Amino acid sequence: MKQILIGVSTLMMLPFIACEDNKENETENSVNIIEITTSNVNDGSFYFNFFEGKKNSNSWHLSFENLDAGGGNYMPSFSLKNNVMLTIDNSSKFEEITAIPSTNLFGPSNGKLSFGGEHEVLTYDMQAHKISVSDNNYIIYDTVTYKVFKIHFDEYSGGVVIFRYAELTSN
Amino acid sequence: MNELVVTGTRTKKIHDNVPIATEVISQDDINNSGARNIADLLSQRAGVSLQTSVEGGSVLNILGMDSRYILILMDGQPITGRFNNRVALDQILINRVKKVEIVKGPNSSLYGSEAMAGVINIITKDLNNLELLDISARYNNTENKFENSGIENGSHNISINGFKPLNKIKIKFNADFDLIKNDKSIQLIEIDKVKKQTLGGAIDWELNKTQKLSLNVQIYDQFETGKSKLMNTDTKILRNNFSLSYQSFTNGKWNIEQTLNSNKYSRNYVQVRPWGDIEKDDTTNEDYLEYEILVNKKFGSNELTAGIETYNAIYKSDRVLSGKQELRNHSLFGQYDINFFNQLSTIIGLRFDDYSEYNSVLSPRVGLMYRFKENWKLRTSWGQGFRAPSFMERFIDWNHVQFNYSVLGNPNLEPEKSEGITIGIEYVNPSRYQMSLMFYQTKFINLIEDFTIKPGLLSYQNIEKATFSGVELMCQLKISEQIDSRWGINWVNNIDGDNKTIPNTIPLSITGAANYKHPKKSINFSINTKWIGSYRPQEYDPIKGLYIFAEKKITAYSLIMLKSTIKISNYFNMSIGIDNANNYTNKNFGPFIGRSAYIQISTKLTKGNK
Repeated sequence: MKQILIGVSTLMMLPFIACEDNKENETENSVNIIEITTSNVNDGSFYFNFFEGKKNSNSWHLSFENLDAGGGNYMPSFSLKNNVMLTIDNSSKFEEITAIPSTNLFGPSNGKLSFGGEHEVLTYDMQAHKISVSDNNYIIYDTVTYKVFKIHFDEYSGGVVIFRYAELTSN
Repeated sequence: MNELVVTGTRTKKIHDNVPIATEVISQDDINNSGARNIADLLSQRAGVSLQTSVEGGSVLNILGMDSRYILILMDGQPITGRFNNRVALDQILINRVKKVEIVKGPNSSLYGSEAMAGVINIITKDLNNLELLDISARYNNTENKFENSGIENGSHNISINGFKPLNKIKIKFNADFDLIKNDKSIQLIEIDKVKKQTLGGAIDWELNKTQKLSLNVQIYDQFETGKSKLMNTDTKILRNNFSLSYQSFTNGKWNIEQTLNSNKYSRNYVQVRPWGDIEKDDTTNEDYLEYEILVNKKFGSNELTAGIETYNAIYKSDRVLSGKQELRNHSLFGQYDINFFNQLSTIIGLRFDDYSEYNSVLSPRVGLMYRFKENWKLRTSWGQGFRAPSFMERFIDWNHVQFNYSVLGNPNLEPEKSEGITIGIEYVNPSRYQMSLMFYQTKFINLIEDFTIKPGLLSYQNIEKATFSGVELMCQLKISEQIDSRWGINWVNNIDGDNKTIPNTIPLSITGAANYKHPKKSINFSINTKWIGSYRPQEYDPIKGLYIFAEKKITAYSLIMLKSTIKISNYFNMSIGIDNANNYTNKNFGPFIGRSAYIQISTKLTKGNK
């Protein structure tokens, strides 16, 4: 009987026994990374100015709007303004990028971030039937203010996106 | 092989003698599979695969056919509560399942709607004269680095089953608790935690030698939560099943069984932004009430089975046009089983279904089994089936927020119809092996598919034709007293009216299983494998609203499941197992999660005689 009781007790406890936690190393940030949550694209377009660090529909670098992708389907899509150049840097983790890439790596950004573009931010996953977010590290160069920013898009849900950005300086 | 099966004829028949080909997943197969739920168990079979659905969730594909064309029963009764027109088979935990019977081909002559391409009957463990308490606890983790993840994450299950005979009353009870937390299997669908619990009980009361009363109650709850920086989701699913059955036998050997079935199902799905905005709050309720009378009488070696069914189904959903829909059905069916000298057995059946909402349907079936040598049998059957359009297909009115399109139901949909044949040959050597080869073909008309009415507006329509054909070879072999094995090959060719392959068709799959029992020590080792042949999958293009062939083929791959059970004392068994041991994943078409491992401890305390 004692054996049964010990066994049953062990059995009932099995699912609740805990082990050590999973702790990941934290990376030290050498640049100030800012997290932004967009408004819902289904309620209206979102325009962001990295230099000012806020929404600005008159002067913007990044837009987030529903674009007609054909067949009457509207896809949430990101775009950069004409005066913004783009490069992708996936050689390091986003947090570890601190240096400005060589200027000859930057190219015109027209349409590359948009739905169906070469480096589209939001991809429609045809198997899971959901929108997934690119893991690219985007580096942009504003040819008006000569400022450089790194951007990473983290999450999409029902028309809202979280992205992080930081200014890169030559120091 | 000489066990009783019930699904093909709705009467208990010896498996070996039943005219309708029935595949049985036995208790041993279930124990050796290591599966946690019915979806896991069926996925291990040849010709069965899990696919993602355009409408959300995953779809079990059986012989290349969407599971909405297969009627899923629990102890012979339909399961209420469908998500996107399909029963969620991962909600049916394996612990109280005794066996699963699979009948291929149209079976609407006995079961009515949905049995277009086959029937799967999940049969729970029996009441018997044994006093029994069966408890098992299982921990499963799909993380690859077990040493770091901690067992507070993963899947935890406790299952309790008991039987208590009290003179003329037999009591059965069951409880299952399943907690899945931060496991890859649910993270895949952006859920952090799932709690599933089932509580149930049954009473079998032998009133006298000619009358029996049975009561069965099952209560199932499921809670899912997902949290992210942008959206928190909560899903609550409640399913209550109540069944009361009265069985009487007359002197003339008439067997009359009357059953009252009440099923209630509700599903509430809430999406809330972390800052408090409610994006979605959808509730679906389904009430199903059925009365059935089944009459059975033997005339020598022949047998008559007839019945009347009537049900009322009420469906309420925030996604349905008027919020609430109601459907009534009355049906009458009969079947006659004729045996000639234990060599030829035929079965003829017909069912008439009358619906309150659309035309009545007549479904015939004929089956034949011919024993042409001592160990050889030929089985063939022909039948017609149908599936009534679902409430969602007829009345959905739903806007897909993410992609800005709407889905509008089509109230004028006609029932889908099928006509199918099966032809099989079987060789049985009772002490050594069994082999069967079966060809099946099912032709569908009026198939219901989604289509684009105009840009941004989708609906459903009846399309013309599709033909599903296949060949299945199955073998069971007892190599020695210690080793037995089972394997199967399944080839399917599913095409639409334009001769194009139907999406999600996996043409060739092979399964193999072997089980070893140590002659002296109480150790058991099982290996289950599944090999899927190379094929070109199809992807859904949301812009065109069509399935298109993917650029690259999926190369052939295999899945390996290992399990070992050791008796650690007179009362306890311990099982350890690894699923997908070779860690195969495909991020586009699945399986999406890799290797997982589990440990299970179980005890069985018994008293009395079987």
